[in-house]
Amino acid sequence: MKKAKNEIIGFFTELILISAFIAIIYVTTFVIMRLR
Amino acid sequence: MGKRIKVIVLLSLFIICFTSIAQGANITDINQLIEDAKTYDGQEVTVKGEAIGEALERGEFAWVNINDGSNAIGIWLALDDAKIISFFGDYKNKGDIIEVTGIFSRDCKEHGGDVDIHSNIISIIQKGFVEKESLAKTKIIIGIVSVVFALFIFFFFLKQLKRPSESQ
Amino acid sequence: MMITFKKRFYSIRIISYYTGYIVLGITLLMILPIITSLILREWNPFFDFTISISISGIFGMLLVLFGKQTRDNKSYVQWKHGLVVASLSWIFLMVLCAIPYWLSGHSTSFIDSCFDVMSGFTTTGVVLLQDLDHLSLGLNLWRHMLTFIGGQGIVVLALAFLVKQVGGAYKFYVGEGKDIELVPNVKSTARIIWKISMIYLFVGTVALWIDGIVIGLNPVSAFFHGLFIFCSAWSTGGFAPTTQNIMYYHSFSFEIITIIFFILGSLNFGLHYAIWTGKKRELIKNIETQSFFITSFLGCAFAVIGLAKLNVYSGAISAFRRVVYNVLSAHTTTGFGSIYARQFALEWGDFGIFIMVAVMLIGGSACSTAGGFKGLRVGIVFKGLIADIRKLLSSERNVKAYKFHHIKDNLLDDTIVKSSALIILCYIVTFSIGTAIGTYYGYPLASSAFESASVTGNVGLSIGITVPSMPIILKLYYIIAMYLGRLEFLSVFTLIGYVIGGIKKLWVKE
Repeated sequence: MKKAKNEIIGFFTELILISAFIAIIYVTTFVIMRLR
Repeated sequence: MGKRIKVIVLLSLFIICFTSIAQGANITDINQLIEDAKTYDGQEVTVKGEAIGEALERGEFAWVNINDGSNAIGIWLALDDAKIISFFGDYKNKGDIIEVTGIFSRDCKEHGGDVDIHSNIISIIQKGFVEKESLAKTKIIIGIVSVVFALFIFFFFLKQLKRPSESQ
Repeated sequence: MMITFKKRFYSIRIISYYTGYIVLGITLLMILPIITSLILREWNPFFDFTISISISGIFGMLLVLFGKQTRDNKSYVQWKHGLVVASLSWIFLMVLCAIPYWLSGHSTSFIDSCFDVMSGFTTTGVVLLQDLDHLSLGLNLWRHMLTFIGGQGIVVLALAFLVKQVGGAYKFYVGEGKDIELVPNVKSTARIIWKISMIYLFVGTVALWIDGIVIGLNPVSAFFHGLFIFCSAWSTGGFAPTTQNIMYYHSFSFEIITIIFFILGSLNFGLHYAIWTGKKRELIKNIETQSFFITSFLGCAFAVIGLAKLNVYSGAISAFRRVVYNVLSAHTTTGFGSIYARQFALEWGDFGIFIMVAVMLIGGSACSTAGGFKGLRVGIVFKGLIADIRKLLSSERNVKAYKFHHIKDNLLDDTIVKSSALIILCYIVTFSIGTAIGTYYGYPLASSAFESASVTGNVGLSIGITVPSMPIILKLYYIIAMYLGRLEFLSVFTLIGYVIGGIKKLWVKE
């Protein structure tokens, strides 16, 4: 059971972290385009 | 008599010229639009191509992708306009050939930088149809023969593997 | 002397045996397009694949039979066999899997068919196939399956399910460019790689399926588009079922979902395994992810700045969808393009193209579906350089051991820095030759570099050079570059060395 729980947490961790990374890049893009 | 004929001839010529000007809106290759995107940006263009895939309905509007042989592009049009297209190109179908007039964008503000054409004038030049698949008899024969042959080898294969191996 | 000859001959049998099984394994997968085409009544592809599966099956079986003595002598398998089997099976499969493409009539020549297959297996994604919009579903399914299989690793597939004995399995696995040991048993490792991929396959397909319906696709086609695009994203392949690639969908949400899955797909399987077994911090501590986050962030930022300077896009969303998307697609070596190929040449300018070349070559993570130098090597070489500088600056009595973290803490010693640097060098040489050949045929330098980086790094974006009418030498070279890039050189060099060695031995008769 712990194994399945770890897998689910791991799965969501990946999704959330990558989404956060994409969001950071989007914000940066927004800032750059604003400053131009 | 002669004068009337002259008038008729001149009038006919005039009408022919007029209609051909109206119809002969320059049709541009899609690839040409991309190559000279900066020139065509914001201009009214006319393209002619086969509607492919399907219409992607988005509320009151829709995307119809068309391919004219040189390239493919997305047309953004009213859903009602999209609905007049009956055939879309895929493996089994040849799509309607449609002629589209609209504004070309290299960096569409409404669609996040897309290269597209916003149109409200589309006409079906040639209706699409279901493509009859032509299957060469040779292919069927080779198909059957190769399967039979493969099965023979397969049985031989199984037999060989069942046998205990001989020494080298 | 006689013993040597016998040993060599025996080696051929070992290679034949395992290569044969791998060929058979992939051949069996042709059943899926056959069934699909049968259900959809696409008769031409049905027969195309039937013919192909027969020919391929016969060839595989003959290979196995030729090497059948290996069955009883499995412990004799050595490293060189593993490497040769991996590289050789890719070549055979390239030709065999090209048959359905060629029979379909959508390829201008058989070489073009081989090109498309190699592009699929290596998860590159450049396309020579014509008229994608009228392609049968069976053949489209096959194209995307090839990227999925190739991304997982053809050998990995065989190991996980077919090869009964573990024996020399590890050597085949490494031959394909994967050397991460998730668990001691290679077969279990292969199975875990497949389990993670299957779960993502399910989740990803469903996500794209639903979004597909939302953006206007009808439910059935949304499913197939979702499946195909997921396979292409996860495998960082870059194929799409239509001519317009990702532009067909005209959808920001669809694009974002693909970004998530292609970044995930470009990550090391060992990393996924670590995160899925409780070591969540690995995602941030790992040298590869650190390297990737840094280089991709910088790549995106500089590209946006560069293109903003040229006023290519007016808004942030446009800049994100048309610049950032393509930089990320290039860096993960995916190859989905949100602009037309020619736009890179016409609008991006040299600085933009330079950034693209750089990120394409750096590539994704090791032991993943991605290509390029790999972030691991870049990170190691970079850290190695820093360590060297520090050594010079510090006092002689200070003997410090430098480390890097990749799944576990590893020693940053000279051997590993050297081997990383050498492989990077191999990539650079391959890339340079490709660029040179391109310029020889008259293509501009920037374009030649772009296309060469794309094939060497198994990316798949095109600046317009890859078309059926391209010079045949360039076409052949690109096939070789894709192959070398994907297998990371060693196994191919081993194959070449083995063949040359064999010729030498035969030449020098005892």
